[in-house]
Amino acid sequence: MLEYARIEKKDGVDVLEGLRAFLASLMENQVVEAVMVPTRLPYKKVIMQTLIRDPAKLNGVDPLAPVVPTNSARFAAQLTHDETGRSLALVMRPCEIRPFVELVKLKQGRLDNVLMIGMDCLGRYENDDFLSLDKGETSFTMDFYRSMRDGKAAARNNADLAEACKACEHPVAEGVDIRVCIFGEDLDKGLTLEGVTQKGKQALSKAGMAEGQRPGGREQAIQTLLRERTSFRDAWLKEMRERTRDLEGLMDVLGNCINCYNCRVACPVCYCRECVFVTDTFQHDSEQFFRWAEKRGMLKLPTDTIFYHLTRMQHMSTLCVGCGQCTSVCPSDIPVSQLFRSVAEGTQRLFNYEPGRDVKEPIPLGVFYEKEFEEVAAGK
Amino acid sequence: MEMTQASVLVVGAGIGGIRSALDLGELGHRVCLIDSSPAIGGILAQLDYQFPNNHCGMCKMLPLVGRERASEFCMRKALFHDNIEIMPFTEVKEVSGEPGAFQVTLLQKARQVDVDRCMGCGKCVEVCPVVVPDEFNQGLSQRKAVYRPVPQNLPNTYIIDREHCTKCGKCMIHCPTQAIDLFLIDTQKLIQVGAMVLAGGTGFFDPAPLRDLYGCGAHPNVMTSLQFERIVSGVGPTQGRLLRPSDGRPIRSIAWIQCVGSRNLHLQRDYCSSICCMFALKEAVLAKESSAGEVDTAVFYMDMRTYGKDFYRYQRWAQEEQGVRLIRSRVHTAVPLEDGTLSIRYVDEEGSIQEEAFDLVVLSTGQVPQPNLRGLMEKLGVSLNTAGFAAPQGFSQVRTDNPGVFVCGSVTGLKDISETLIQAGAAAAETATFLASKGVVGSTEAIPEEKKDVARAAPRVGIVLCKCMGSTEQSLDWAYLKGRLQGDRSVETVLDVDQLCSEEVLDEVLRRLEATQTNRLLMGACLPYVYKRKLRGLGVRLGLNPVLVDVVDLRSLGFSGNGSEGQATKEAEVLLGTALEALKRRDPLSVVSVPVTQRALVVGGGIAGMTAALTISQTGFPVTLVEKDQGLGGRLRHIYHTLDGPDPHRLLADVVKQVEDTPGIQILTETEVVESKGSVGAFRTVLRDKDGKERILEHGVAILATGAAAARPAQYCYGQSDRVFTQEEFEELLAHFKLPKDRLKTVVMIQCVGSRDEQRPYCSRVCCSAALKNAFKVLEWNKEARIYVLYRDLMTYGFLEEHYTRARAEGIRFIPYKPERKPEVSLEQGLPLVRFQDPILQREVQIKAEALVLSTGMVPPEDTERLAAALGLERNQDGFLLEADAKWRPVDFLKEGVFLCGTAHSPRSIAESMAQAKSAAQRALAILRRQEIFSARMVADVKRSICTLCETCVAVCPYEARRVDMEEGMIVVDMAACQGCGACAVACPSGAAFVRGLEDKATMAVIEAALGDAFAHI
Repeated sequence: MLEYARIEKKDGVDVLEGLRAFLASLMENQVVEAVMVPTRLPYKKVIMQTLIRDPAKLNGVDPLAPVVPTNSARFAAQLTHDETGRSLALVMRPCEIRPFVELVKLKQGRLDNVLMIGMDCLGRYENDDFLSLDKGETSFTMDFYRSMRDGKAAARNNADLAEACKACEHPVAEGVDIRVCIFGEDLDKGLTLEGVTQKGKQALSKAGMAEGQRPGGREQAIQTLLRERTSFRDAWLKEMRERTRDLEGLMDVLGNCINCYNCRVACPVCYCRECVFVTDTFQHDSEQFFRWAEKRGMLKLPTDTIFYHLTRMQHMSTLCVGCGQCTSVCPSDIPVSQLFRSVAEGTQRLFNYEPGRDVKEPIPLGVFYEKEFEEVAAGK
Repeated sequence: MEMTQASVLVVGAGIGGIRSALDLGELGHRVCLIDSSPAIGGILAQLDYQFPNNHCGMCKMLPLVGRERASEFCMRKALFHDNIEIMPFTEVKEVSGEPGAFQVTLLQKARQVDVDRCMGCGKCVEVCPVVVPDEFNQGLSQRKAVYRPVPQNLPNTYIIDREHCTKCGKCMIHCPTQAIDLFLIDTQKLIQVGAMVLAGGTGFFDPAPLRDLYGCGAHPNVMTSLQFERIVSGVGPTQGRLLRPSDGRPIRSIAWIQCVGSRNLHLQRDYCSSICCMFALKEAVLAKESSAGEVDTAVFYMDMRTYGKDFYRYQRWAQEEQGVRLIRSRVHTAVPLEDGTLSIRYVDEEGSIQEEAFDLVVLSTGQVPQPNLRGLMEKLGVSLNTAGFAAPQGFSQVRTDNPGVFVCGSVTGLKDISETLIQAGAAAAETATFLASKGVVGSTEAIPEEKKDVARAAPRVGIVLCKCMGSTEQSLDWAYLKGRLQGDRSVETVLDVDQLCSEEVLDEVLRRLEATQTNRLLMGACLPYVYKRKLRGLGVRLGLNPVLVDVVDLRSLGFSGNGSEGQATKEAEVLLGTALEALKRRDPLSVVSVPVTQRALVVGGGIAGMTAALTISQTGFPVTLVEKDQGLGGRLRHIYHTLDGPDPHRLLADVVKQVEDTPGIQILTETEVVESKGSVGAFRTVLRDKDGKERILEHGVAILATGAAAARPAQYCYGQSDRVFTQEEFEELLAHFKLPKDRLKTVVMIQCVGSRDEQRPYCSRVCCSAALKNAFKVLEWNKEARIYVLYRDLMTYGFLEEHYTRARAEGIRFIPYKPERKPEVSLEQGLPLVRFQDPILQREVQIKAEALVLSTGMVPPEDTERLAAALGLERNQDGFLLEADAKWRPVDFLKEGVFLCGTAHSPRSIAESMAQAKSAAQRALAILRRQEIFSARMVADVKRSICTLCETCVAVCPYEARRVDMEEGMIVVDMAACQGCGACAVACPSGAAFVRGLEDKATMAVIEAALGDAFAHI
């Protein structure tokens, strides 16, 4: 049982290799059968999520690289959806863990045989920015942490962290078994693994990790970061609310949507098997378009774009974790995430609901309280 | 005179009569439901808010299984049911014949306004010169001699108040549709029925004789509780604002005076009206809520009789959370002061006189018999009790001394909603049993055949527009409307006719439509609520599936009055357009048949379970009666006498014998329920006997009558002395003469032991009566005995009150104590020494008793939690089984096909348990009597291919009609239980959950037609 374990940089072995060794040890000691973790692929030097069964294949693993090519919550759900009995370590960021918790509530995944390893998160670059900065070289990951450690801005060469990350107030993973502590650490010296749950503490000791201690300066580093992020967030959401105060404003934001549906593909909590917008409900007759055009004199094509976003917002706003993937994938540069969070912040406050906070907390739509929203109930 | 046939005549269309009629209708009997007033709903029409949540909920009475046979909308507006003929404004004039074959002459009073012609324009009201107090608002507002008796009714036709009408004739002249005839006379109708249910309700005490005491009738700021109910009503005289009648200033404080005209020996009213305490609490909470807690509310009472399920919890909530003040007192007078307030002079618990001024004084006026009750009862040979209410027989709350006549509800003394509905169900059950003994059984409904299979045909909508006797001729632009409709390529034909509601026109329209290829039918006519059934008949004759027929109301548009020129036409276009869009996209829908296993499972062999089993088997269906104990009888075995007379042990012997002698009842003792699967009509339940052997029982319905257990006290030296008993033990010893006289010289009884406290915040309802009956038994045994009853509130509700009066007359001492200062007991030389605070003397008193008797109340049996889980049922906070709705569905569970009765529901008396058992049996029979039950057509379904099994729809279904089938990996809908509410469809993001006939595509087309724009599709 280890509450804190230490990965020390020594003998030329850096923290990344230390992490790989830890994951290998988890598998070798039968703590888990497999690991899902971001890896630099051997055939293309990009970072992608991978499911690794052979410890020998861990040499490209890089969960520290400041990129999230796509939110892995859905992969986690796919891997745990059926009762396979297989044990699995999931190495994820807070913005991936939180939607996964929501998916578990929605019966799309399970936590039964999962060892959840959560990364402290300093943010991510947009995918193409990361590619241009990283150039397939592992050294960029460590350069990034060094410059962040030294208080330098993340922006460089016209690239910056995703806006969603700058507005994220969840840099620390909650609801995990093991936390990979980066805040307050100098990665050139090492990092700390925190065993959060019994399961996590046992896993650390079974993996034969060296004992560590609570990293000093961690709390302060987190508080400083949170202050920056919440002030960015408040201004960011305010800007969007002012922009979308009326329908014209909303149409201005969403006007160039091309109905590619990338945002819902990227959304980790959009869990429908088939989106209602691709069903025959929205396959209109040719005649229909002419009738609509007749009524308004002009019909924007494609139709049903704002309808689509509003519907998705109605379905998702209590579950939205603000990971920003929707914005990242939009080919029309629509600030989808900023818009969704500006609404989600309100709906989540109304229900006192925070997605991903606790797997036992029921999703607001599924529960009914008699004394809820009395101001809108009949007779009030 | 023409003779009409029906199985049953139900007299009184308040909620009791409606419930009985619906229950009998659901059993397949033809019912004639009459009411002397021009509307249905009885007193409830005037009460907008009900305990505990201040909602209405009357519609929860409507049938859930086979719901399409009855109306499916607000019951405060109207009611329709295939098997019920409703005749308002009708009274019983004569009765002849005998039980099983009564001939009843009905007097149908003339409304003077033709319901079919009146379009409710109100011109008659404008010209009527007569102004009288409006009884709907309890005289707090005024009306004309031509008026609408209930503002929310449909159709909301006017009526002439013949008592006040001067026959000036102005209304006749001004009526645009010649609907008024002041010279119409009453008509008579002869009807033959097998049985009758009397549900005529109660009158309310007129406090005028107390004018000198309380200023009622003289001071505008003194009113009855029913008047106050109209004050808080949003459609009442002040639109729900709390304003002083004297000067219209906001009300700051309100006092309720309880027991006005009840518990009053001077007025020869030695009874409690049972509901006024809860009524006053509810009104005080309403006053608090509508003033955001600003108004001060105080209830002046003698005993706060909150004896029903969850009532005491509500009382505490009202007191502690809402700040309602409860003042135990005797009110002397309410004296008007110059500032418009009234000063209440009262004697408090310590016997001192206090005074406090209030803006408004509400008198909680109780029951009095309906003035015409005696005459009716004499006609039927039904006896009345001394107070003049109908007197049911023995342990039955609904049987009378006429075997073909049953009573329910407040006609036997004021009842709250749930008690009324329980009795109404019991009356229906007794009636059905009686009819069965005369060979009259209910008919089984058939599903009409559809001649045309149009599922694959392109929509061809036939549209029929009715001009309603010319009333919509001017207000609507007919040429425009017809043009618009004909422009839609799915419209086959548009016919415009006059008086579609007449048979000749219907025949003509049918001929014309049959000549076309119409496969969907849309009618624009008058009030669809009222005429839908008749007009839908046209669809049936055309052989169309019912969901391919719709009716919209064009007539109301014509006289809405407000709106510019062309507004009505525009609205008509939207109404017809939306209905057309829905119809042309709709496929025919068939009902789903669920076969019924025609056997009932009754769990619990106490008096409730045995009564339920007998009621079901008497109607011819087999029952399996499961009892975990060795023998039948339950707690009744420990009850030896009753307060009001009838012998419980004889009852027990009779009922056990009957049950044992009934071949249709399979008795399984020492058996328990392990688990249950399935849904209404087809349950599979695992039973386990004492040897651990399990068997599977297939049954269509289940009734839970698992009873309650006696609470064991942990205080007052119980268990430390042979002189300290529970009330139940004491009764047993008295019955077996095991207590010699010298051990009964001084007897102290303590009420509410372990009840109505933090741990068990509920009243066990029967302990006060038990204390009284045992006290009387002691006096029978030892006339000299001194008996002290230490109590908190004496719960002798209804006609039990006279026993309380008698007890005091016989010298039994009643001393109230407060929960914060409970009596204390120690043992002195083996005898209990009881110390308590005497409120009048204001000092501690000690009594050494030969016997200390503790009233400990009831608790749910230990097994309840496991049983509830096994059957998928819920429990309330106190651990008793939780019914579907506290007021409106007192014997149902949310899970359709499972019912409850007796003390498993909440503590109650033998007679109350038996009535509830019959009521539950009746609900069960409504399902059991059918070989198959049919779902409605518009029910929820699942598109399996896109369902992600997130189970959100299961969580949100309010009827527990959805479940996940793990083996099949799919969501399953229990079609018979589904009410088509659509909550699942709303909750499902992908559209996998949907309601048949209300698919997204059609709904979006309807919205678009309603908006008249492509707005939705931006």
